[in-house]
Amino acid sequence: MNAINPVPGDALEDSVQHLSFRVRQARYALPIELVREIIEYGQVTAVPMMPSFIHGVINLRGNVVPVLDLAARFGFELTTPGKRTCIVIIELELDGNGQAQRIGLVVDAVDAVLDIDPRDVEQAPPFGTGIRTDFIAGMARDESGFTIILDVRRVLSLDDIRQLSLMQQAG
Amino acid sequence: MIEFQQPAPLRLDLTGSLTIYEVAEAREALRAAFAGARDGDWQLDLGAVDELDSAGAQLLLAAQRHVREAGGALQLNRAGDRVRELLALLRLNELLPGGDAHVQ
Amino acid sequence: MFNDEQWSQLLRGFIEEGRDLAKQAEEYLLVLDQEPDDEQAVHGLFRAMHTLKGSAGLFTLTPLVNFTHHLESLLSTVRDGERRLTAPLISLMLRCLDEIASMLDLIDPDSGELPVDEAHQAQLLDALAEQTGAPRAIAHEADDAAEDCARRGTLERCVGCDAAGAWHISLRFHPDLLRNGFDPASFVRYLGRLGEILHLETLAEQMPDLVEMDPESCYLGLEIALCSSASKAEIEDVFEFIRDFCTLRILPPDSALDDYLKLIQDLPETDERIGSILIASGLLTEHELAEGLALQAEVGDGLKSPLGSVLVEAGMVPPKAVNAALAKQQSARERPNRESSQIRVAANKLDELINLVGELVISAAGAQLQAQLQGSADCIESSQTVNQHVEAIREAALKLRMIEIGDTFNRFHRVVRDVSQQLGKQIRLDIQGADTELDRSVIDKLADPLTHLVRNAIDHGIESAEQRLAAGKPAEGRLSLNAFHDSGMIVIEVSDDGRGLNTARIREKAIERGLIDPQATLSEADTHMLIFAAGFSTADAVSDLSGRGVGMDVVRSAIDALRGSIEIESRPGLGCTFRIRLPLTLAIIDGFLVSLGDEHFVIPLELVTECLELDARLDSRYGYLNLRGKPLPCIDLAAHFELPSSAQGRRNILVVSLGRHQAGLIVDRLHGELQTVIKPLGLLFQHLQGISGSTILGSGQIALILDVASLLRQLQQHIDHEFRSPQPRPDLMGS
Repeated sequence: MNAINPVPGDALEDSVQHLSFRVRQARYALPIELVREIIEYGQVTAVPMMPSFIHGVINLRGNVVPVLDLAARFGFELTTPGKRTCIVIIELELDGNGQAQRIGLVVDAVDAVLDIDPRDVEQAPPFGTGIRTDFIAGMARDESGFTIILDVRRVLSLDDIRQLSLMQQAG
Repeated sequence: MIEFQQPAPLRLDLTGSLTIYEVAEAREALRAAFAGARDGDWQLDLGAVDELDSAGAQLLLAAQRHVREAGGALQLNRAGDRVRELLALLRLNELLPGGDAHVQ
Repeated sequence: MFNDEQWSQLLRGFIEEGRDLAKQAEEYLLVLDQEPDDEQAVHGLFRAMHTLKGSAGLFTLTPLVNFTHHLESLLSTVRDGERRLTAPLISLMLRCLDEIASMLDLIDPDSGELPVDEAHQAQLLDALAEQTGAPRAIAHEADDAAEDCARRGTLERCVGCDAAGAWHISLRFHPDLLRNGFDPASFVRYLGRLGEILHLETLAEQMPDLVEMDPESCYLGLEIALCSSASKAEIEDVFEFIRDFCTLRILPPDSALDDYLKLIQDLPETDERIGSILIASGLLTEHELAEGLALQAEVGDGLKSPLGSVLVEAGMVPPKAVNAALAKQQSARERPNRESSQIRVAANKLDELINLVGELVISAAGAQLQAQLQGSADCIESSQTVNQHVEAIREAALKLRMIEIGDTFNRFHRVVRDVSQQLGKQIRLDIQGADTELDRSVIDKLADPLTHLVRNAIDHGIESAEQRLAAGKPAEGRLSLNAFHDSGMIVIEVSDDGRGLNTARIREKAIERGLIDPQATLSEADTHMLIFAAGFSTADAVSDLSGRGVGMDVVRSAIDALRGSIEIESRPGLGCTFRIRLPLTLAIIDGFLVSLGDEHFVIPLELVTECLELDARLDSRYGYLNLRGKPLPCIDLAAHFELPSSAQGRRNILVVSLGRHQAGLIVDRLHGELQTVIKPLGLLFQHLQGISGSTILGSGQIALILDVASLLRQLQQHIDHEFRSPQPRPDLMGS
């Protein structure tokens, strides 16, 4: 899981390490500095009245951590856990407060650690990727095709989640 | 820091400070020096002592008593201003230079 | 004697204590504002200033000493009944306290320097001098007196001294004094600045031989005769820092013979030794000593009547002198025990402890579960004992976090005073429920919203004196703060007897700002709640008092963040009450565990009134059930949360009560009581209604904590919109 997959050409100092993973066959990546750990898919406690992509919460060594189903967030059906399904625990600040939060993302499989050179990153095309364009920070090219680099903050936008929660509860 | 030198059998020259930080060490030096000559007329030269606090004064008092009890005496010489100021503040007259005329 | 770091530490400690003292002083002053004759407040105020001055002196913070000295002089004339504290004088003194507070802030703890604005201080001091009619150079008089003493020579009785005698100070030091960095010599030096040391003896009778002694222990004692015009308290203050490391006895001049004799007996050294010191100090004559000791020996122990009376009978001492001396002794002894029974603890240390206790609760529960699975009786009993102790620790730890709201409430006296003066209104503040305890973090977050509400009441609520009189009300407006517990919630009320909310105007403004539709009909209560909407303000001018000009939405969001609620009760012309309800959100909760299908939920135990089995069914997620003849509104939680629930089997209902409302929560199974740690769900779930947090059960499973207030609100909304039809309701009991 930690194999380094070098980008063609020299490994430059400017390249940023990313974790690459799969959701429904497509390849995605996010900066490794956000990743805290990767755990097996296990028991998730559902939280009622939340948008369906908010899977629920899990007990991570005594801490209650929310879990998001990335596939559902992208608009697909809820993930049915398979052998390689895991939860990527990331940590980031959700609002301006300086308080970092841990959040788990359900993915179908985790691939590798990639060194991505910013020069190899292209803008997202307006269609064809299958997910909202604003979720995409960029597309990284390599021999096997494209990896979609996620704009994690947009994916976890609190405003979105709030609107969806309120809609869910009103409905 | 304190240093003891014994230029003559009943004389001790002290150099440095005699405060709470030095009294433990100083006591050992005094004890060793007095051993075997406890009843002598001891002279302590404080010319090179730059600092004295109550712990140091207490020790000097104990030293004086120690030799007195054996019939000896202890006199402080060349005490500088700071040393004298402290001793005067606490009215430790017996220790003041000129005090402790040998009673025997 | 102290190194720089130690000195800095001490100085920091002084600054902290100084702030406390200044705060205390302010509180006393505000009491005196209302009750000018409150003796306790006068004395308290005096003591605070006095202590502050003494400690400031130790650190040679001259401007501070000077300032407090002036305040102290003024206060002593008040204490002696020579003058009264008028309102302008109190205002002036409050400004002086502010100056002291800012001086404390200006002290550099590393260098010990205190830069002050001379001009500003001069202004205040001049104003004070004007008020007291005293010359400003008071501080120098004391120094002059001391110099006078010194000039007369060390052993002569000082003519400048008031009394015929001198103070006798007896000190016996704790062995650890020197080790802790203190040096008796420095205290003697300081004492010398209060007056003239007529006589001093250093005693070392307890000191073992050079060879046996511990050179770092202190075996010394001091007997001192001091000629000084200082007070006993001032002399005691010299030894403030070594209070724990010495036994201090002070006999004022003109002490009764009895006291000297008692001192002689109390001290470890021989009677003759001490007696001779007292004689050398001129406090006793040989005759008095001899007679006194002999008489005491005759009279024996356990005699209560003071020796003084015996001596009077024997014609040795004039009765008036004895009585005067005894009376003086009595008042000197009445040093009120201000030693606070509180200690300061760094907030983060407390948080850490609470965290650990929280984890302990969870792991103890896990251990107990394991024990039960193992089935060993000894193991189970053992883990139960552990749990009992954990419970006790938990209680104790939680109490550490609780603070009385009184402190916060009391701060508003100053606010009310200043603001009402500024606006030219007469307003009185009443406080009730000051001893209601809240969690520390809750109190912190309440300060701002409360300030907004108070300022709002003063600014907009309470009318000017003329308007009130014209309306037939007393000229003085009343603002009251109240706090109490009510079914597991804390209630805080801010009430005024002012003009109340203007419903029509609120409605107008709301329509103007597009907050409501002109055609909409809202109840009075709902209209009032509009003032919390963002962008709303009925103040035509943005008054600087409310700061941002629109304070109410800030209040609302602060209360929301505390997961509380706010309601308004207003009657036109009579006044307005804002009522805040807050959950007792402590880190650890006593709850009742239930389940819906596989999901577990916890309800705060204090809200649960009873639990019953349920045979009946509700037709929809909300409905009514018949509880002993009365209708009980109920929520079918499974339906409400859209969760699958077990179709067969008995179901259960939990009756909860919150304030005036009662409701039933229908669940699948009941699992009993538990205590556990609240784990917040985080920002992702902040808009979730009905759930206030989560917790980890002993099994590692997560249970969600129900927000009963929110559920009840949703239930209430549903009820309000429903047409109640008198249908036969399924019976809860019987059948």
